[in-house]
Amino acid sequence: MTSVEITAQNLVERLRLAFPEIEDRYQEELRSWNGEFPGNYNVFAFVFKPFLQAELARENNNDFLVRFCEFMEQVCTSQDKEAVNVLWLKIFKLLLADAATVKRLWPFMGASTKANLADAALRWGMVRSVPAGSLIDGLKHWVGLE
Amino acid sequence: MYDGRVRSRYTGKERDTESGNDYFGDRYYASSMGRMMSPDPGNISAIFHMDDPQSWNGYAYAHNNPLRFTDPTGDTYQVCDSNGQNCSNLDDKTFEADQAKDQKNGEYFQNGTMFHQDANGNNVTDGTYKQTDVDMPGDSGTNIAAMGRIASDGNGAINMMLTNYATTIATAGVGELVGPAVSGYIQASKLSMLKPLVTNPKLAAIVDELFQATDKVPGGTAGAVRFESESGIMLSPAGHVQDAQSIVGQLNNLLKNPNTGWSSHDQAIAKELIRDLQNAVGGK
Repeated sequence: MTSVEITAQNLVERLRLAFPEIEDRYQEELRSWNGEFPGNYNVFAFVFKPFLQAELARENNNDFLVRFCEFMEQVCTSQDKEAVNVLWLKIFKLLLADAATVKRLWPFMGASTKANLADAALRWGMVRSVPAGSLIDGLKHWVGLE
Repeated sequence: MYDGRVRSRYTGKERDTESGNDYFGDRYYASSMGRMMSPDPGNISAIFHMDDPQSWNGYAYAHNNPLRFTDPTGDTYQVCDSNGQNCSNLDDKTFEADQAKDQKNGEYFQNGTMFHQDANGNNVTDGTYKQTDVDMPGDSGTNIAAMGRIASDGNGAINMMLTNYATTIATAGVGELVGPAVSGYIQASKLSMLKPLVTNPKLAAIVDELFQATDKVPGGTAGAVRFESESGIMLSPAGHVQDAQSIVGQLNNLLKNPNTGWSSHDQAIAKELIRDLQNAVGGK
């Protein structure tokens, strides 16, 4: 299952597989939509993000951090721009708002995630939230060389 | 004497008034990027020139390439005689045009020295040239590759540039950085909805999603959509349109399923948010 590349079409499905803990919340969101799929952005914003924030607030949960960073890397290495976009708008905005969180996650992040995050930091004027050494990769990513 | 010929050619011309577009198609500097670069960190990203709508258009034309508009108007070369004296500053367009002509006549340009070969094959120095400011036009791939070469050569130019850049950001402060951008954007768009106060928890979560503390432009997600539409600068790989439409769906869903704490005020806010988002997506 993990060999299938993540796309905008399977993004939420893959999210639910990676984080089964969100299932109850996801089903609750589905009910509020009368069974209609809420869309990637809404699931990430109103189902996954609250869960993520709670997990990030916990200490000594490296297992989760590894799992989370692996998922981000799978998204970032996909060729689906819309799937990556969801990650940017719903997760990266949250992460870049807190440099300490980025610092904590950085050792677990893959290269593509780091480049994407640095790119986002450059575009959003939040370079203080990422290591300075990552900015050249962010620039490369911005201009499409990665 | 060749020195005089070269010198007169370089110094006899009136400096051109250049626009950013003049640089497109230029490849020479990209091929000679081995020199030290010292770009203005503030120019590395049009994000920090959002108070200048013209820079937005320029950026859109450059396909959001942050490297193509560095130093669009500067003099980039200092040309001197063979003794390193009688120097003149030249814009890159003039330098490049004359260089091409001279190269056709057997003039060489290597490592800051202009020379030709005499009948015996000996190099005869005619003058010197050096890049005095940064111009990274045209092909971004070559530019980046050159930047990488410099970094890998241990020159440290890129690290220095980025450190300066980061320092600029850090010392500028959010207010100074965002202030001009905000005023410029508001002036350009004449429309910017502020984050509303609501009581309904679900609506509050939506509002928090729309208006984030880290937003670069005013007006929340709708503001980002308008900014991307007007400037051509994408704030994310695929922009904010799809996100805006998704939140419209979320708001409509909320209006159809009112729950506890759903005041008329909150309903009015939700409708206003929908209108704002739809206008933004519709280019209004």
